[in-house]
Amino acid sequence: MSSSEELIRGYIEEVESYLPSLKENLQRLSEEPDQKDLLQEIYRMTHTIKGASGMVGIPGLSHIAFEMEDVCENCLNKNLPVSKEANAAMRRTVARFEAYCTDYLGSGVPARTLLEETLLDFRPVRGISEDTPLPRELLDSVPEIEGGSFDADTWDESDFESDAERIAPDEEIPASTEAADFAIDSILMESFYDEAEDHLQEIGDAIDKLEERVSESGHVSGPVSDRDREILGRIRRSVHTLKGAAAVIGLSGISGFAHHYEDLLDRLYENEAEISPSTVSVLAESSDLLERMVADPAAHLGERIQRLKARFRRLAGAGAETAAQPASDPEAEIPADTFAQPGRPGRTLRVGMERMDELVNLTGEIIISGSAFDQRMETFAEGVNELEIARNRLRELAKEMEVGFEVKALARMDRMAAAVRNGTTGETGPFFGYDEFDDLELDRYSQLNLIIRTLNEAVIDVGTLHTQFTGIYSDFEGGLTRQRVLLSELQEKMMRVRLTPMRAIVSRLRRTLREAAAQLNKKIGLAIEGEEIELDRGVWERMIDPLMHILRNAADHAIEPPEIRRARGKPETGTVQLTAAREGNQVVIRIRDDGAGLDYDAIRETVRAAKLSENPDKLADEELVSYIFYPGFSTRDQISHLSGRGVGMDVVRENIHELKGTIRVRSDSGGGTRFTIRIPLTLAAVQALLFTVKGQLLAIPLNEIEEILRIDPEEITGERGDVVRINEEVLPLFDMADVLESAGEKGPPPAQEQPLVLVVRSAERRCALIIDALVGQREIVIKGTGSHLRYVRGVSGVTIMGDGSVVPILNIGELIWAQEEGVEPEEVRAPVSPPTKGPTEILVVDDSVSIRQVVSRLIQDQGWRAHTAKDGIDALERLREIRPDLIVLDIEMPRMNGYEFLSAIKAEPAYKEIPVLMLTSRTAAKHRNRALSLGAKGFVVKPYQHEAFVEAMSSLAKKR
Amino acid sequence: MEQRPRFRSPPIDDLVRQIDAELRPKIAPFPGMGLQPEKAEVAQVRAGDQYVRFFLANILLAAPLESAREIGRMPRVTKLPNLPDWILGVSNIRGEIVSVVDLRGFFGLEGVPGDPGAWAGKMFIILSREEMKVGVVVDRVAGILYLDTRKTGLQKPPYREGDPEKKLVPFIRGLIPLSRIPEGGNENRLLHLLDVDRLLTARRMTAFRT
Repeated sequence: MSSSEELIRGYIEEVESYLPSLKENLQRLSEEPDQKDLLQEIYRMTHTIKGASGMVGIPGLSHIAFEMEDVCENCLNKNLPVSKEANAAMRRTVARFEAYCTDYLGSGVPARTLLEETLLDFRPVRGISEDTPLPRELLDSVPEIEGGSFDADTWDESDFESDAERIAPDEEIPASTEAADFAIDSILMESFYDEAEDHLQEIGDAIDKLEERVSESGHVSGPVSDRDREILGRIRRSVHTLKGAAAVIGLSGISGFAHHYEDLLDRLYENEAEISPSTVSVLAESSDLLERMVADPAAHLGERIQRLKARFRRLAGAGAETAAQPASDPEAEIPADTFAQPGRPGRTLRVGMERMDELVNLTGEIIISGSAFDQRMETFAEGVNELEIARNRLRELAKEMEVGFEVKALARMDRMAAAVRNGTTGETGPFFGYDEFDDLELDRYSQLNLIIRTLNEAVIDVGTLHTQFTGIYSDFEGGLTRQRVLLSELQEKMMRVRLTPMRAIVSRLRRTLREAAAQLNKKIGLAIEGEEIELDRGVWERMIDPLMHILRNAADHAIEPPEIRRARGKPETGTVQLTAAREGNQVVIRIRDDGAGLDYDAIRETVRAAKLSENPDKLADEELVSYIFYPGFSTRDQISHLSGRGVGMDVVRENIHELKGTIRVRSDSGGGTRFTIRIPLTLAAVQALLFTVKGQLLAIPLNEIEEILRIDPEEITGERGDVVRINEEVLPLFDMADVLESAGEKGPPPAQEQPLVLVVRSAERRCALIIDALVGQREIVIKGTGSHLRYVRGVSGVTIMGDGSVVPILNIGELIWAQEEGVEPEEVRAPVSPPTKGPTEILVVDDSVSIRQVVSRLIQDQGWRAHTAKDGIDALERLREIRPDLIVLDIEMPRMNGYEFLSAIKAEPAYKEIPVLMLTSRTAAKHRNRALSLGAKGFVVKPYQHEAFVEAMSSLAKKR
Repeated sequence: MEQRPRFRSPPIDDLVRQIDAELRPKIAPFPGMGLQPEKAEVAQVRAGDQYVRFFLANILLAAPLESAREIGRMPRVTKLPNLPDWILGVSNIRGEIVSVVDLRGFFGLEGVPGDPGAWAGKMFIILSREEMKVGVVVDRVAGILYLDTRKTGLQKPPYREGDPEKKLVPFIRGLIPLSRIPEGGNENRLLHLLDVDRLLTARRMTAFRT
């Protein structure tokens, strides 16, 4: 018999033992329905059956017992009368328990049918109408047959038959589709409960105050005073909100009752009724009832509701006309919110984040201590093996003694005896005289014999111990394996607990935009994609404000009023698109509108007015954009209700920075504005590649890795060996060991004959990285770098391995191209750092934005790094921070032209070695000669040939 | 029905007194006080705050125990790129990632040799302020003591430029000669009271939080 079967058998016996007293109690209860003790006892036993059945794995019995328990509980709480029907239904249910006892281990029990019967049985008791659809999901969760040692195949057929029979009549009832929406419901429910809790508390507090006032002032009854009115107002507000929230969520019972409650409060508030202690008691009772309904929407409180409503009517002094029509009251027929099932969906518990974190950490700790245990287990296994070896050695020894020494000893004794007999031993000593000799030697012999025998016994003992230990070991091993599986499941679940899909905040975002649009008389639709993208709950909470702000801005600034849109040939309804997507170890949220785009002129004017820049006219569009994140920046003259208060984008950026994210904004090619927010995943699992560099274990998210290969050293080119040709492509090459050394020293060239290289794509750029060795691919959980080091450049987080060690997860984009990442325009770098490593750096000096962009892109496409300056002065500024390998220079520029700049740098010893390549539309020879005489090294005419230009740049840059 | 044995635990005050008595270092009661010796001792013990005492090189420091989350041996440290030398890396302290700071290096004191073996025997104290936790490496932990700074007073640091202790001054609340502390013994040393708030809010320290 397997252990689980044993368990079940024991359990069935236990249930059996309850049956007599259940029956007896029910019998006595039918005689004395007021005997609470009896009911209590029945309740207790049913409760036990419910709980234990679930544990031993008989869900059907558990659900059946639950139904009965629930009714008992309601009877105990006097929500339901202890009626004859109830008693009869309970007895029938006990009979079902009995069926389980007799058939579970035999032919099996038709669990689903029994559960259905039970549900139907209790319906009249609960006052549920016959037409209410059965909770299909619950029924389906129970196997058709429970227990039994039947052959599954033979049962299949009847399974289908009975299923078909029963499902058919239910099919047209749409209740089951509601169940399909349950995933959304549960999230809504969760926030509803959060909200309801607060409101109920508020109502409770207010009623307490009212109670105090009524009793102390001694005014038995009278018109409502101002103070009372204020309190009533508070109650009314909360009840009203609760009503609305319940209606939205589909809890019609609650909203219906709250509606009546609110009516009464209205009347009291409007002085149409008197306030007296009995009024207060009705209010209090109503709030209690509301609380109950919220706590358990499935509770059957119809009677109480009706009773209270009658009291409302009396209090409100309503005439006969209202009292005459209670029957048509729609909620009267819906005594409880029907979708609530015994599974009690939406029941939530609010737990502090820090407690969750503690649990998550503890889980990690258990896993870590488990792996320490694993290591001890190995030692144990070795010990057991050695025990076996020791036993064998012992056995050999025993055998050797037996055959060798015992036999020898006997032989020697024989010899001795013979010698004595022959009188050849002349010596004196212990062997003197036959009798003595015999005694002594035999004694010795028997001692040896005894030792050998004991030794043999010891061999057997050690053998037994070995077998025992082996058994214990394999038990442990089995237990540990199970535990490991459970633990990893636990860890996984713990991680998931904190994750919430974006769906949870979507409704608030929609509402924000809707309200904003309504206030502005604009028509705006919100299209959302990626609702399922999950992030830590806390992150979403902190994202809400920035997102709402951006949406409000879009409504206010970006989307034009309908008439203008019509005039511009756009659809009247503007669209804001919000998409969330997971890209690598980041979640990227893009918000994009089809409005007018950024008003660069307005921004420029504001920059000018606020004196944020010396020369706003010289600012390129993309530079201007960064000013909208400036504290207090607003292009609005008038402060509107929605935006324009200048409190905003800086806070948005602040909030996003706190999440270690970045935000960028630009005009969309389609004419609108586009915000891109990137939030790193701090608590998420990703597939990662683990590898070592100088003995340190490191990880990179797998999706950033394009290729892993060994390269031929001959493919490494470039002056400093910093470019590699892979598959006909030239990529910048970095030695990971150098990159990680923050000192920036370029180490000796890779020691490997054919260096192992990762081709990484990160932040839209590619490069090749030399590593030491691969360790493998693994699913890792990303953790932050701790409360102290919130942000470490080039590290997107760490992960904890099974042995407790910490492995950094690298952010290659930041590690290698850090300077160009992020939105910090004011990021200051150390002045003039000697160019010891890294890709070729080129400074492009041109007054045209588009030339700067095109040339920069061309430079970046070569795997080089581009810097830009918009005139000579700007270029001199830039030279303080960077040391380019080449300067690409235009001639005509404001403030300081190309010739002036050329002369300036050639006069400066620190700069004069930097080669300069002229890029100009001036074709005349005198320009060329002038430039070359001033020290330019090359001359390229716009428009240029790509190849020739690249060739010119690379040859000049390499000469250094 | 109730048949549970009536179990009476000793009053909590007695327990506390008992525990205090066991933990209490042997201190002589103040002379001239009319109180019962025992009461005087209890009052004395409860008056001060608890501090953890530790050495950095041969400088004796004390940090309030309430800001020390954990004291233990130096854990395994993982190096991260782009950090100053005095941040040794991060460590896994029971599932939580905590940074490891070489306090000597932070203060600019004579460093510990770069050899990782040199770190093996060091002690580790996790200091915290609000939600920020920093693990600092110290040379030796010298136990817990009670201090009542109102009684002992705080002296100003007497150091001059060039004294190694001078570098600690911005992070020191004051000094107490050991001779003024009952359990200080006869040693002629100065106890440097570390200002954990200032240490953990120092700009260099918080540079990685933005």
